[in-house]
Amino acid sequence: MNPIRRLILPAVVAVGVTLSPAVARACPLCETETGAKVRAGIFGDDFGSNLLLTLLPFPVLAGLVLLVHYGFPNPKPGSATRVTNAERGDS
Amino acid sequence: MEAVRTPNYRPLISAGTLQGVGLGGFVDGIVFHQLLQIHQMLTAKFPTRGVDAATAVVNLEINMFWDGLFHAVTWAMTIAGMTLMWRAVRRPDVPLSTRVLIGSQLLGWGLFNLVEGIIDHHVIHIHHVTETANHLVFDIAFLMSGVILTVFGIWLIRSGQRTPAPFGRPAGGDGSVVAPR
Repeated sequence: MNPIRRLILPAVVAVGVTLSPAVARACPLCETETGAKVRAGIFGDDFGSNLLLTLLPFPVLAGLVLLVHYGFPNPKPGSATRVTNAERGDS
Repeated sequence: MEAVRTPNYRPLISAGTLQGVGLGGFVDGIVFHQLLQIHQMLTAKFPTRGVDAATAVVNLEINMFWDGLFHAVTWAMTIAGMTLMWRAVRRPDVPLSTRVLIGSQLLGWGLFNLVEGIIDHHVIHIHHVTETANHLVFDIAFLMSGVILTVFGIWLIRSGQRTPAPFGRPAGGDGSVVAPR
């Protein structure tokens, strides 16, 4: 079996155990009044707008990476690099 | 035997830039959010200074959640950059220039500081570098760091493009698969 495929099941189990409710219950603030306020602050009516504001820079950054990809000029064809097999690491 | 190829730096540049965006986000998170304990995601809305201790704890936890979400996306961008780089180094027309790679990563880091700074600090004001009366000074310094990283990154890329570098090539040199021994 492909070695990467062999790792998939243990990885899924590890993630499942990490996120399991038993571990979440170890959270020192979750069952307290502070925990309730935190949950209310995160998952309130403004959750969607906070999500949008938090992630807003990333579509812009992705667009800029695309611009960099297509905007950066390659050297002109006449300036092609001449390489030997030895330079390329061929034996 | 000699070969002449037209170098194509674009795959390496976009891979490095994407990595720089992601790693710049991690520098921001590790240095500012965690070590210096400033610049958290929604501190303009959920302040952690100038409030009583109980409110500060609640607001810190809320900010930690949004910081985590932000850095999950920077992690995804880093992985995307690594994936693109893996594809780039297997192409026979991409010169493996260290200068171009490092320049691209610095360019990505600079773009991260510029975009994050302009959008979050100056347009939508969801936080500032520090939530103090003189935050503008720190916000401008953050932007300037972005400008310096971007300019230096572009200079390194251009410099790397003028310097000969070995090409990437598929395994086996001709696209054939090298059998494990």
